[in-house]
Order: sequence, then C-alpha cells, then structure tokens
Amino acid sequence: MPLLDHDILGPLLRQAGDSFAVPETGIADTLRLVRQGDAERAKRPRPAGDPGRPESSGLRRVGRTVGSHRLLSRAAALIALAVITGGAVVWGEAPPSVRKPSALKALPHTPAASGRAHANVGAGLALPFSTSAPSYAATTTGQSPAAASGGDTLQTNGALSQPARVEQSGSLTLLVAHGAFSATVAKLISLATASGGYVSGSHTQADQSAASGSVNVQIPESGFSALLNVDQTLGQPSALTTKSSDVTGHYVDLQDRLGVLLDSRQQYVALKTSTFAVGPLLSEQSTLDSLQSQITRLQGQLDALAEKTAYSTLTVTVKEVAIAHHR
Amino acid sequence: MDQRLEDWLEEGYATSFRTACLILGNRADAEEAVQEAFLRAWRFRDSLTSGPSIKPWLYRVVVNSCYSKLRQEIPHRDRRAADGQLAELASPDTDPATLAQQSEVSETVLAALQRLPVSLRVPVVLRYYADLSERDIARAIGRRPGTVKSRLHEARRRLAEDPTMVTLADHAALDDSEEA
Repeated sequence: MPLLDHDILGPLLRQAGDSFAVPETGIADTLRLVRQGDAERAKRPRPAGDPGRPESSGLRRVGRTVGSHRLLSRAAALIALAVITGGAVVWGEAPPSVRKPSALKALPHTPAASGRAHANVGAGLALPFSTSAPSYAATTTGQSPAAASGGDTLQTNGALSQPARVEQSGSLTLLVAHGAFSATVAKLISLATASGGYVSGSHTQADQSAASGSVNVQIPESGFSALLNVDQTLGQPSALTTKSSDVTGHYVDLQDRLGVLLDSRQQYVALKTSTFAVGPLLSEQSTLDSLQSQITRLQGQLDALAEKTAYSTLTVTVKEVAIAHHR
Repeated sequence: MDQRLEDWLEEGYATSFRTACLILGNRADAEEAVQEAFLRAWRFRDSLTSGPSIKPWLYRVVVNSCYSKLRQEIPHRDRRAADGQLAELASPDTDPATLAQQSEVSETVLAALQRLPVSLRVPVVLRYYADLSERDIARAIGRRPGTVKSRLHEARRRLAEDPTMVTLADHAALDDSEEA
C-alpha cells in the first residue's frame, strides 16, 4: 500500500482545518480573561515565607511532589516512624509509647491488655486520685493507663507530642445528715463553679422522712480529681464510679483528615481561580461543595470531641439519712 | 497589557484554534483548550527563551492543553462533534455544490484523523495543517525528531489504508491531472 504523500495530505488537512470557523470573540475573550487573571494574581497575597527569595527548582519540585501526593507523603512518614520504633524494640529498648505510668504499677491485677481496672478502695489499692478513709465501693474504668493517670502525653496510637485527650466522667453518692441536703447541694454547686465548672442538670426529691437528689456538674478536665476529693468530704461517700476514655487517637485522626481536606480545598480554590472554561469550573465547584461539606462535618466532630475532653462530667447523688419513725 | 499578547493572539489564535479542532474533533473543546493554552502561555511567558519564533513553543502549550482535554474524557462532551463546524464555510459567494463538496471532504478528513491514535494524530496535524517542521514538532510534543519521523510515516501508512482517504486522494489526483 503506497503512502499518502505530502502534496495530497497538506491540502486535505488545510481544507478540513479551515472549515472550522474561528470564534469571532475568541481573541477578545482570551484578552479579557488574561487581564482578569493578572488582576487577581496582583491582588493575591504572596505565600508566607521569604517573599523575595526565589525557591530553588529542586526544592520547588520536592514541594510540588509532596503537595500533590500529600497522603502518600504522610503514609511514608508513618512507615518511617514505624520502622524506627520497630528498630528500637528489636534493639531491646521499650518504645516510649508502651511504658506504663508509675501510678498504675501498684495495681497488681490490672488487666493491661483490656485497659480496664476495677479496684476496691477498701482493699487498699491505688486509684488515680487519692481517697481518705475509704470504706465504700469504688470503680474506675479506663481505656488507657496513660489516660487514667492523666499526665502522660505519650500515646499508644503514635500521636507523639499531642497532649492527651481524655474523656472523664464519674459518679459519687454521698450520705448526709438529716436536714443537710440543701446545704450540701449548695456547697457542691459553689465548689463546681469555683473550679471553673457549671451545673448541667439537677434533680431533687423530698418526702417526709428524707430528701435526696443528684447534681450533674461539668468541670474542666484538670480540676476533676481535685473536686472529686473535696466532694467526698461533704458527706459520707457510699459509692464512687469513675470512667476515663483516651480519645487522643480519634482526635488526631480527625485533625489529620481535616488537614488533608483543607489542603485539598485550598488546591481546588487555586485551580478554580485559574480555570475559566465553564465545564471544568462547574466540576470544580461541585468538588469544592463536597469538600466543604466534609470539612464542616469533621470540624463539628472535632469541636464536639474537644468539648467533651475539655470538661469532665461528675454526677453527685446526695441522700439524707432517713430518720426512723417510732410509733 | 503587554502588546506582545495581542500580537500572539493575532498571529496564532486562528491557526491554534483550528489545529486544536483537528486534534480534538470538535470546536467547543478546541475553543476551551486554546483559551487555556494562551492563558498558560501568558502566565509562563518568562520561560520563553528568546528565539526567532514562538511558534513551536506556543504549539507545545496548545498541544499540552489538547492532551489535558483528551485526558479529561468527560462523557457528555464526547462528540459535540462538528457543532457549527461548517456553518461559516469559506465565503458566502461560494456556490452550494462546491460548498457541499468541501464539507464532505472536511468531514471525511476529520473522521479519518479521529480514527488515528492521538500519538499519530498530533504530529500529522502539526505537520500538514500547522506546517511545522519535523524538528519543531519534536519540540512541540517533547519527542526526538526521529520519533516524529517514524510517527509521521506510520500515520501516512494508516491513512493510506483508510478507504475514504484513498478515495479523496484519487479525486485530488484526478483534479490535478485535469487542471494540468
């Protein structure tokens, strides 16, 4: 089969090409868009950093690669971290994340694997907070020893250098003398307010023989143990339950996902400002809307978690000791 | 506004647009691709090395824009095809018979081009429509001149196997001989 030569193909392609009418406003539209783009770029602030110094091409390339493969970069960083940590284990050093806090060393029956601890204070076992003259049942439940001790910022989920996020809650039952109910509740409320907390709910009831009720207080996480100790002196504690749950991993995960989404949104916004064709513009807008919705949802979850961990919930039930009626 | 951009547009817009039409097969995508190409070219004008002509550089940007469009593969724009392609053919003085013949030729060539893979279609369009040399095509598509040569050869071979193109070529040869 012979080839089509230049003399034949040239005129045929020129005829086919010339059959396309050039858009009358094509040049004017392009000029307008260029002007618009220039004006927007002039308005846009320079990125943070040294504004005058041009970035080296190598750095720029690495930056661009990292930027466009942000997830992969983070995965690589995590793998590197895992390898380093694994190496430390192999060489005989316990990784910092699995060190037990000293406060729990005194718990001989603590099932560390499940992270749950049930301790009878009366038997003399240590709790994260101190109790005086304990003669009642107490239960403490925690997901993480570090969280239960409340002080160690090293987490088992790899969230190094991230302060621990712990959800804490507790309930205390106090027995008070007949007629002391109101004063005790008032004292409880004033203690909670003084430590920066607030009353989130209360319930009281009274009959002829005795009054009883409960108060729910929200206290800043740092003041939880102290308030619990003081509250126990307001009456005779009959039951105590505390629960702590380490949510640092979840918090870090949410933060990370939010960061990725924010980066994506930034890239799409930049892309949108440089796109002028209607098709891609609509597609980018739709992606942006979806990203914004995910960002809002994650931000909400993060805020809720932050709120939960910033305040601990303590429910104090106060019961008057009933007077025996003799006929 | 730099006068340079207006010069570029005056000099290259029409050819770039039609080149994009032949590569992409429809004018709507071509219009977007060329617009994006000129915007990119203007934004990155500092990377343009001083030379006798900006033609290969500009074509490189246009071709890259076309590749981007082809990669998008948005189904709804698959074949907006010859939307208005021949609506303003030539001059209004052209008689209807000639107009019809030109239209048929154009559609046949366009269809034959679309049957070629993009890697062969682009060099053919740049060589036979945009009239770039093999060296300039190599610069425009970022390949070696030897690669361009072999692709052009392969494209001509495939077009010669296309019965519609063979018929067109025969008619063209017949017309030439009659004129002679």
